[in-house]
Amino acid sequence: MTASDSNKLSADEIALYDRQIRLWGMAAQANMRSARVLLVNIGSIGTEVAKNVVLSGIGNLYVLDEHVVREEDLGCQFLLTKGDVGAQRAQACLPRLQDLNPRVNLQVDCAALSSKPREFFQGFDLIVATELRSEEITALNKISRALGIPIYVAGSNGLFSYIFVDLIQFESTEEKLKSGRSTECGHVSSNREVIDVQVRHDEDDPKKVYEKITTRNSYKPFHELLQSATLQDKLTRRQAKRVNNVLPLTVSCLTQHPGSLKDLQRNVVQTCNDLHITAENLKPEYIEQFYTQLGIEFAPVAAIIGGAVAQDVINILGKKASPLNNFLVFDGITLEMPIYEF
Amino acid sequence: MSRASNISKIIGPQNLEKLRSTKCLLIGAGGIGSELLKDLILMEFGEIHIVDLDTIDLSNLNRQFLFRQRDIKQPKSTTAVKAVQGFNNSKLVPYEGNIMDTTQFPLHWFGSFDIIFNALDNLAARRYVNKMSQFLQVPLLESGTSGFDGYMQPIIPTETECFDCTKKETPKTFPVCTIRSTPSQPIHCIVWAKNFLFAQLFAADITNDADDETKDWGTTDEEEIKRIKQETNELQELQNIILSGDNSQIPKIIEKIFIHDIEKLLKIDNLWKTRTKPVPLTESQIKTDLTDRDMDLSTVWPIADQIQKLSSITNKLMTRMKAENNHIEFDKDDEDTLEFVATAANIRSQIFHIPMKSVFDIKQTAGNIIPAIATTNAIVAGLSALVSLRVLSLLNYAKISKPTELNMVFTAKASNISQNRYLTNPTLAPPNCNCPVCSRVVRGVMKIPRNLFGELKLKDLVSILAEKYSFDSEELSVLDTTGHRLLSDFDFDSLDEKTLEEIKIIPGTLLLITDETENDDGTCLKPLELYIDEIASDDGKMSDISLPDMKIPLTKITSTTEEDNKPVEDVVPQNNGETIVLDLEDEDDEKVKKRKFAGADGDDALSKKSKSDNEIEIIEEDDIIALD
Amino acid sequence: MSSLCLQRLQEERKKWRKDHPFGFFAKPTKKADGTMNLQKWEAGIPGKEGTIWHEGVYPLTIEYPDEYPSKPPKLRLPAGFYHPNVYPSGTICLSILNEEQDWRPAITLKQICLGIQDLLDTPNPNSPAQEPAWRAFQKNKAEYERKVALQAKQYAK
Repeated sequence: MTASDSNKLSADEIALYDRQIRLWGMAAQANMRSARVLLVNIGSIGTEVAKNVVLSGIGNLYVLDEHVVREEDLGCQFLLTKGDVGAQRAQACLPRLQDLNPRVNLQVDCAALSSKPREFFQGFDLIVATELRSEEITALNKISRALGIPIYVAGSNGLFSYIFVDLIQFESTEEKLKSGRSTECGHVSSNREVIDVQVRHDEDDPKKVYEKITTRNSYKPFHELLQSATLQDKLTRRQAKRVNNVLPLTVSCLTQHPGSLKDLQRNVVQTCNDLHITAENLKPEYIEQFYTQLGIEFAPVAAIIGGAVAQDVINILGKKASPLNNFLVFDGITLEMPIYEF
Repeated sequence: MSRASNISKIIGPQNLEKLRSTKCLLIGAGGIGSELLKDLILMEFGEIHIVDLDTIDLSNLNRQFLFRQRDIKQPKSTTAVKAVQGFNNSKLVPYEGNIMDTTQFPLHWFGSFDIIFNALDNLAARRYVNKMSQFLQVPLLESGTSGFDGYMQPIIPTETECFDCTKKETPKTFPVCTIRSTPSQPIHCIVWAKNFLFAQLFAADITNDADDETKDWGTTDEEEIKRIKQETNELQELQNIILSGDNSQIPKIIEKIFIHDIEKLLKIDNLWKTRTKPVPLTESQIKTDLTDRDMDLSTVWPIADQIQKLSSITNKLMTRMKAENNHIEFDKDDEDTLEFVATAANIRSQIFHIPMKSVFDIKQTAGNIIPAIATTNAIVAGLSALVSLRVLSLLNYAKISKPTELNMVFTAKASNISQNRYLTNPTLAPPNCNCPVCSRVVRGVMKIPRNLFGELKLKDLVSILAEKYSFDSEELSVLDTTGHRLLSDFDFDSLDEKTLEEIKIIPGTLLLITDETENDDGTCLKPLELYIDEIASDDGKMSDISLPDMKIPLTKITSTTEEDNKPVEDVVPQNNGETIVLDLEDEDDEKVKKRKFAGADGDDALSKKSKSDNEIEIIEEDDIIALD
Repeated sequence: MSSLCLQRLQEERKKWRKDHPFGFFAKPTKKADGTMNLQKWEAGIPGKEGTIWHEGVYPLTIEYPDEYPSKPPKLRLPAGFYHPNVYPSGTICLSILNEEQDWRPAITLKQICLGIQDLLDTPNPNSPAQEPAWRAFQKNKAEYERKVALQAKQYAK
């Protein structure tokens, strides 16, 4: 990329963003300034995502949130204070969010997601959505697909959480120190294909050789992912036995929201079958605690998930590292966070 | 529904009450610290004490989200506490100070906490807090980040690995020969410019060794002495020019360093048998123009501009010397010193056919800057906050039967270790039986009445210890590990008659007592580490001195020097010798070829090696992990 | 720092007391406050019998960094010491003292001292550290030997 004058960072920006420019470079930092990101819902995870992207110096963030601040929001959101209860959440967050980085162009909108016509989404480069029901995700994903906009969806169930990513198709280039074997073009997994490899010698230390690898990531829409998600032929038998319980429970709840604990107990067995994994590991008390925490946001989990989502958003805006592909779950007990390609 | 309804659903109302009466210590209010403070408050921790010695800097604001432009230069701990008032529900106690200051933070103070969160940025403090947690058996949650890389490790004293159970990477050192004679990478030139040239010209003690007639030159040969004197004198001369403030002589400095010294190196032709010869500057390149021009710090300038800038910046520093007591330290945020080092390094690079760098890039190397971002800090802090629930046994459905069931975490996806896991979460290992901190010593607190510090002699201390623990007083060594001093041993008793006060054994001093008398079965007593504490009494008696009641366990003599009598093969003199250490500043050595967990928000935590070791244990078949 | 450094150095001190090569000495220096500084030692290295170095005992300063024994000690002969592999400042070039090369934490004080004694009479011309001694050693052996002998007298036992 050639940096035109208007796209060049000012000395002030370089000083402010010093510690991250050293990680992703001036060009990526300058690129971020022109980005327009839509955040749907600013709950616990939404707040974390907003904080991270605002601090990083993203150009424009548009927050769409129809919710009103409830008492329990105060227990998981640091942008709200007691006096905000009853106010529009997006409005309440705005001044404190803006204060994090006055350079970012922030806009808030208290309208309902469902009220927004397709054209509304056209102006965004990327969408991050949280606290959505499955139907809402499917609907939003339909629009994002139609308009060719990358989307990240995250949600949490107390100690447990998930991230869904649909970048439609995305090519990323990353540079790695070359290991013994050369990287070759071709599929590395079901959704990822290496399409180009360039070798570069380090100018400081000629002994160091880097490979610049371009990977094409393909994705599935949300409803299709839920319908076809399977781990058949993707895991060794040993791995299949150790699949984290959070996966079937999360997929089950997204496929069919359980009306009762019994529902969930029944549904999750079906989900295990669909995923081609064993249901034997699912202890009743585990299902029960998952059910108790359904839909609950929790600050430390939100920090982890919001951090992971924001990091990937920054990466793809800077076209740096290989993006997430395409379904993650997090287990707040064992701190396991597997990435599944469905 | 109330503020705490979510956490209550997760841990239950009874455990919520426990959490609300939990008192925790958060050390560090920087990148990880800001995030942790927020998480702990939202989780309803009862009491959070937060310590930081630092003030806020502009470059913190990209991640330390509790701070604003208007807070720059304010203390981090108190500013953080003010910043969270809007959503705070806990009792918060900020402290400005160094956690290693035993007056402000004595051992028993650490003992008042249920759990300690480390959000530190340096190895020394991490090691110190680890030791305190070992003394008191308080659980410690250790964490660190460097760019995209992060880790979090719960430490349960005596049950799981402590911070020092795995080897930690220390700053990279360079052979002096490479730095002084045969640089081949930009970093060699930067180290030379910073640690050698700059230090000599602006930060060296002014010595007049060369004129000291009584000095032993190691030879009586007049010609030799003249030569040595000349070597020493040359630098002295340059220093004198700087001190004189005579800026017309600046070209002379540049000539000496970049022409004459290089010509001298060229004379040693053995050096250039396999290397490309350096090309000294020419006299015509050296200008007398001392105008200071604004330059773009993010681009690489042509050589002529480097030379011009070096001249003008030397002029500036020369003027400053007078006002600053003839002593200027290199500081990456002092632009004059940075530009001096950058241009001098670049000119040297050019001479040795090494690529030049921008001032921005050189700042990173010379200033040991570690990249740091909000996201990694948020993730690591979140993990640390989350695991505390299990450490404190507050998750009823995820109780642990032993602490080794707890997990530690490393970033995996972001660190390019795995495409299938965002995090790796190995369970904790038991203590390393060779760990010099947690396994190979026993610990205790020695309490001495305040009035006795001026009366008790070192020999009294030795005999009290010998009697209490059946040491052989003839074989006892007393080391002060706080002051890095040996106080007494088999061959050193000249301080034995001094009082504790006279030899500065004060409350907070750490003593290491060793009696390595070998028993017939090849065992000896384990070393004893004592924390000296005072009893607030002004008429205490010898009998009031308290020591822990215990029997010092025996240990196998495992010499660290087993290859003792084996001769070292190939004692080859190499073009390598003395090493120069990039000194640690507020941030750690970054431009090392090995990636490490270090950082503005947690430096120097785990070496690549120890990390790889951890990785090897948890490799799954599907993971392509390149280990070279 | 961890106490490992001091613990190990105290071990070195005990070992040296039990067993050290004939003609050598090594002891920690004293700090201004009268305590012993285990991280800075002074040693005497006798020249080998039958070599041009034999008449002298050469003073060696050994400094141990906080990271010892992970990192090697720094060795120094007097400034201006005449030897091809000794820098004008007295710093010594030796592979076993380089972290990236042959340094191992198990190397003892005794091995270091014997290593220096070896180095005195077997310089490596491919790793010059000073011009005069290196040039003489390469091109004017008689001159080299005269200077070494002169230096040996200076440091006579």
